[in-house]
This record gives sequence, structure tokens and C-alpha cells, in this order.
Amino acid sequence: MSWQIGGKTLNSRLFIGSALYPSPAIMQQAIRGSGAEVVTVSLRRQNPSEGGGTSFWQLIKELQLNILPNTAGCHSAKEAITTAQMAREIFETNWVKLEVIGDDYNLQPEPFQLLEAAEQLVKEGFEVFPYCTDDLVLCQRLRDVGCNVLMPWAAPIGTGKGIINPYALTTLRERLPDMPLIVDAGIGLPSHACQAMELGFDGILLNSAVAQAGDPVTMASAFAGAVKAGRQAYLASPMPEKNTAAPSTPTLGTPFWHQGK
Amino acid sequence: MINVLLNGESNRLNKPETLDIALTEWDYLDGCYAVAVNETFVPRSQYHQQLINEGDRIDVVSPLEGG
Repeated sequence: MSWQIGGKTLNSRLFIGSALYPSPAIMQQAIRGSGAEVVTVSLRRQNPSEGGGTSFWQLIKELQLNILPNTAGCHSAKEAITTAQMAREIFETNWVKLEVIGDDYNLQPEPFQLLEAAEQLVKEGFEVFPYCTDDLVLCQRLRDVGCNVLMPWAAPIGTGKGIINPYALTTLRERLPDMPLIVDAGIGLPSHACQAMELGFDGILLNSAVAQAGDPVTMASAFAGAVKAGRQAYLASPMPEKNTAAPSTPTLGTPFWHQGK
Repeated sequence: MINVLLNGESNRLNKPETLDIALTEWDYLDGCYAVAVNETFVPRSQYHQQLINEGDRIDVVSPLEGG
């Protein structure tokens, strides 16, 4: 079933990164195998002798997907805004995955600089996909400055820990029922992605979980299935959890039953 | 001679030049890059008006893998 995000219609709810793959060929195969229609890329300093990123960009263009440039590595609103502006020129898209890092140990977003950058970029016509923590108030403020989608983490980037605070993500879903929410970062297994989708999240963005798997292409396919399964489960309204057992097989007419057993 | 920082490394120009000329001197010939001068984005359409001066910090970036 298709859905709308950032002014575009997508069929897949899995967004995928382009980093850390064993080879460019495996990157292409894995991205194709994921069924993702959005791929993240970055900008880095390059010298002319290094080819200026042309070969990588050619591989990505061949995939014919939506490009989501990131501002990875930025530590201030100013750096992130400038990087977003450069990305818009190169990639010819107003989409930006806004990252402003506040701590290099856990790569936690810097909420104040993130908010400042988001507000400015929205004013400049960007469709801002902010990579943020699962802090409810921060997410509300990002919404208030004009973000049309939010990307809270499941866990710090690259840890593969899965959802470390299900309460916070559940609260986000409940308090921002109409806001597209994409879980970004910290996913390690397809079951993590499935869990997030079961909670009602609109999509999953991941990279390391596929790229650093022993077989990235097969893992990409596994994630595609998990995201679909989680979404279907959410739409199907899961049964309520209970503390007491309840037999699924009818008890009436149970053989060998007698009173007092 | 003026001294600048190009992608974080010392570099030189014979004299203050506009950005389009400076980029050519530094062998940035294809179009797959974007530029910031002193951490401010310079649109491609402005290269011929952006003068590079002593001490300027120029960042030239290109597409790369990212998560």
C-alpha cells in the first residue's frame, strides 16, 4: 500500500543507507534487494585526484531512487545548514536528513542546534527529516517549527541494540498521532524493525544492520519482509496482552476432565 | 601570493581570484561538487562573483556514501 512522505508517494517503508558495504556492487545489490525507494548519501571533502565522488554518485543514480542527503558529522546549526544547502545544489532535492551531533561518544543529536537548524532550513524551503532522540518535547518543538516528519532513534547510531526505550517511542506515537515517524538508527535485527512498525511507526531508516551483516543482500531482503510484517500487524490491531493464561482450545468437552482436578 | 585553506589544507593562489578561476587552478573541472567559503555556501551561479582572499577557508564537497 502506498503512502506519502515529503511530498512523494512511496510503496516501501524502508529507507536505507549507502555506507559501510563490503563493495560497491554489494551496496547496489543490497539496496535493490531491500526494496527501499529512498537512499541516504552524504557530502565529504574530496580532492580532484580522488575522482570527486563521481563514481559513487553514478552507482547511486543507476538505482533511480529518491535521494536523502544527510548532514552527518555536523556539530552546529551553521555547519548543518551550509551542508544542507550544498546538498540541495548537488543532489537537486530539497530533502535533507538533518543531523547535528552533540556528543561524539554516542552520536546523540544536539537538540538545541538541531531545532535551530530545522527552523532555518524549513524557512528556506527544505523538507527536513530531523534525526532526533526519542524526547517527546524535542519532537513537538521540531513539529512546531515546520518539520513534516520526525526520525527518532531506536538506539545510538551503529549499535544495533534495537529499541532501548519502547516507552518513549510508544509515547511519541500516541502524542503525535498524525506525524509521520521514521525510526532511524540503532536497528540491528529485522525483529527490531518489525517491533517499531508494530508500534505504529511509519517507516524505518537503517544502514549498518544491512551493510555489516555477513550477507548484506539477504539481510536487506529480511528487513524488507520485517517492515512489511510489522506494518501489517499494526494495521491488523494486535490482541491485548494479558497477565493470565487463556486456553485457545475450547475447554468444553475436554476428555478425561473431572471436577477437582 | 595569498594563502588559503582548501579542504583544511594549506594552499595558495598567485593573487586574489574569483572562485571559478580558483577552482580551475585547483583542477576541479567536473560539476559534481559544491563549495562553501568560510563555512558559507556559495551557489554555483555566484562563483564568478565570489572573490577568494587571504586566509579564506574553502570547502569543496562531493557525493559520498552515507547512512
